[in-house]
Amino acid sequence: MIAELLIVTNRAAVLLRKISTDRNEAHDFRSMDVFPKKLQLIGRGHIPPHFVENDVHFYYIRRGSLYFVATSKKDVCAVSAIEFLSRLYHMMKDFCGVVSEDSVRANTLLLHELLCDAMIASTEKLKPYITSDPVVVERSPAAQEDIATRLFGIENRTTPVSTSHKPAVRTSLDEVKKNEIFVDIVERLTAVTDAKGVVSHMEVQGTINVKNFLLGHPQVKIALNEDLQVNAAGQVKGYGNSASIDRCTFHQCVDLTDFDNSRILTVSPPPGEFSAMTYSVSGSGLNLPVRVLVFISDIPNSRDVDVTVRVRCAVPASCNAAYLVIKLPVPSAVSSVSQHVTGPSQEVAFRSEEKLVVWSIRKMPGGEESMAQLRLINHTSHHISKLDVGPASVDFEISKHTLSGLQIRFLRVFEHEHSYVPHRWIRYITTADSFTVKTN
Amino acid sequence: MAKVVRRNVALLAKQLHDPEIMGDYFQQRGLLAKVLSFASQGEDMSLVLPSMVKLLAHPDLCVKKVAGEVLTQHSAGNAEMVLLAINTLVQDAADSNPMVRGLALRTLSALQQESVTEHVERAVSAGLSDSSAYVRRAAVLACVRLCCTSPSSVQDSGFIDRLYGMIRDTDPVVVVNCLSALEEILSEEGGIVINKNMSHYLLSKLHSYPTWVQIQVLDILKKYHPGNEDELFDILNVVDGCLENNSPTVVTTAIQLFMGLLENLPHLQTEIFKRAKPTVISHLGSGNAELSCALIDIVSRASGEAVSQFSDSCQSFFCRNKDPYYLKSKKIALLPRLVTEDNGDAILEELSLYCVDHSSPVVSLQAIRAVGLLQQKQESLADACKEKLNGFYHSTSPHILSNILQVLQDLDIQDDSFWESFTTRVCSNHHMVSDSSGKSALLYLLGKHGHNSMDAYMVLEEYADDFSEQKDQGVKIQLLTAACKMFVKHPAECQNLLGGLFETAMDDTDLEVRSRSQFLYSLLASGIGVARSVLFSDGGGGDRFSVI
Repeated sequence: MIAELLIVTNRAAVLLRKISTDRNEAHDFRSMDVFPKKLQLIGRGHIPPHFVENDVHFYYIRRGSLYFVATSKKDVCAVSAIEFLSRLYHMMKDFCGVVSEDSVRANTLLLHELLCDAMIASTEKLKPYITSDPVVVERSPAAQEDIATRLFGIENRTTPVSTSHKPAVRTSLDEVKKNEIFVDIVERLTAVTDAKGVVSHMEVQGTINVKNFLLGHPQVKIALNEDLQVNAAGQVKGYGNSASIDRCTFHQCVDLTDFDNSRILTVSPPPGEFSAMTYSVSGSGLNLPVRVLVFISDIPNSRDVDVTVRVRCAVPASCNAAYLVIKLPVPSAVSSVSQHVTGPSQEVAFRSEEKLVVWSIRKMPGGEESMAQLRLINHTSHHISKLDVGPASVDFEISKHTLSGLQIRFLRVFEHEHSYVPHRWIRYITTADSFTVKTN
Repeated sequence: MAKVVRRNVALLAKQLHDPEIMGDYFQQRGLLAKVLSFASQGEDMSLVLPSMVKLLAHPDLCVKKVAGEVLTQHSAGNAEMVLLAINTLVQDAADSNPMVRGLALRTLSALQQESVTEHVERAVSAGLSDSSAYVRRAAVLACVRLCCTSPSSVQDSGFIDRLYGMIRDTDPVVVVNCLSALEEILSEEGGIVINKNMSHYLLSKLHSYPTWVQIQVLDILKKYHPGNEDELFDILNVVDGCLENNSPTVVTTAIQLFMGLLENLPHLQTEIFKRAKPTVISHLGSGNAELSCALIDIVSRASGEAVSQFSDSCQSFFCRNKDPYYLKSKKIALLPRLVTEDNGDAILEELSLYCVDHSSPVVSLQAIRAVGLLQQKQESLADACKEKLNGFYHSTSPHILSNILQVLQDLDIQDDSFWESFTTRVCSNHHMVSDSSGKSALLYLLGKHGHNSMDAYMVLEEYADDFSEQKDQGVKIQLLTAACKMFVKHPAECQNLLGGLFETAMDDTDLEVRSRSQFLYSLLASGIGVARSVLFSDGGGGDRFSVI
């Protein structure tokens, strides 16, 4: 079905190209020229993931700085083409540890083989047919862009970073590999509040991610909070400390026999990375981890506008909000911004071409508060409308804390062949997926 | 640049011949990696082909694989190389290692040249009854390629019957390969024929198949039409479980299958979306933007009633900050279709966030358009929407103002007090609208709703003064029409304005503008009553160009 697979960098260079060996599938059309050109012309974020050009269908996904592109002469269902590409990406990640420009270059042979077999035999169980060995590439520390690619490389004092981005699929070379398993609870927050901090819409999407480097095929038990409530949507939620979730789905390898009584997931994990459980929580049981208030006022006898932003970190004092960034769009009439911030390790920058004021705080301990006073300087003759300031968007990352209250009571690996205990890592991460503060 | 690459390829070819490197697997693989990266730049690889033929006989499986790949991809016009390779490949096809056998079959069939047909036929025939599933998979696919080069050989050697027989193979991938191979080979006769037995067999096995096989089986089953209603419901019951599958593709393929089966039972179609909803919603929250976009496409294509199944979870269709623009547009376009009494306010609030989006004028236009749709669709929201639109007009961003004007000109709002306050505001900051589609929308609205306002007259006068410098055809035509409408209402005040306008417009370089001004002139000349009835006979909000 798929005629061609490409891996393209965001600088529009083709890293890898695999053409189907079927003549009747292949097309003469130079898609390797078309996609990069389109990328340069239209720019990222504007090309829909499925488009047709000269009767050739293009499908792509973007992961980090790479684009994975598939083309076909037939109108393949976009969902299936995109799921295929996503699976391919995950396979590459399992094989190479990290998928970046460097690692793709270093692993040309392996990836080529992978694409080749994936095109023919679909994506199931390719491991036995892959003959080349992965080359492990050190990840560059600057890769802080996409939570999905970064998750296992996330900076965390308790975890040795080097283990988190190695290949998950075992090949003959790495006998010395450690026997370990990572279980991460990752929650992504979507919220909209008004300028006074009143929440109008709030939702948390959570996943329990497992990255499995265990030897053999042991069974793993993950125990969640005993008092966890799984509500049918629309039911009234109880207050208090108990964790409750609205909706959850599980990976095929999860056995739920003990889930109803004791909230234990029995997992027979495949090697590599997968999400054992995805869930969502919304509504009254949740508290915002970071509260942001925005006040805008006109300055008498001036066309400038005063903006005060206050942030309070509402997580327990034992946790920190890291990489807290508040972005405030301002109208094009603003030519510069004068600022005053209250705390250390904070910075306010004005990106004049994007018309964006960016206030970043490296680290903010739970319970603390901070304030930024900004004066938007207006050089034009118009007045600035308050309507054009904002809405602000907030980004942060909190480890060791979940909004839903979901926790892992214990993580046990049932291994009969080996006597030693594998390393087990449990991490909790909360990030903002989309946190918007309306300013008027 | 091309020369440098050429020299590099030549150097590579030389290195590949080096006997020292030949012996070292590791270096050999490194060189092949380079060959592949040149190949992916689309370079001419004919120089390295002789080495590839030699490497086909290499003991390392990885080297063999890549050599075969490069050979098949670049030997199209090179019959000599193909002949050289055949011997090795035929030998490999009888190797004791199934991986080698499968690989040889793959390479052999991919060469796709008349001269090798005979060998391929023999190898495929042996491969179809191989004990290893890996070889059978390759052999089935080889049939398809064989069919491309010589259709007669597939027909004559009874491969088609064998493929039909192999649908009951124990290996699911072989099954699926057979299905798609038959579909391809028989494409001229309408593809594979699915009879009752076959469909029941596939359905009975469906849930034991791995995900990707399930998808293809579901896809093929779309071709089967059950004989009676009982059978139909049996199929529905089996496939029903797929609607709750973890894989979005299984769900969408199952939806498509159901839609085909239930063509005559529309009331059940809505039910399908109800069942598939939880999976769709959970994938929308997964953070995979491209997947969400494709899923929203599926939802948008459904009928109105089916879409309204998603109304109570409209929050899942709200935009996120980090969503790419294409996804935001898709979500915004869908939201007005989800509106009900209960969620109307929430949807309006969400849309208004994006109406004033500074980063992308397209997203803002779409959001404003969606608010316009809401205004017409939901009676209870009409006033709130109008208020929002009026409020947005306080903005100082030119693109937002222009977007609002463009949306309003297509809306049919019967509310004089709204227009009165709106025209006042438009007149006070009309100079901020800078693009031509915004300007023509502004003039259209002033012509239609501004005839009681002195300010509107001033604006028209200002535009008339700049008429000769104006470049856009649409703006000129709208100005002429607006001035005529104004004239019909207030002949005395507008006489000078309109006279001057006609004078310049008749000599305009643009044919369209000239003919429009002539038409309007003769319309006015035929009497004020006729002109009034034509100018103000608005057949419907939208068609402003056909009727004026």
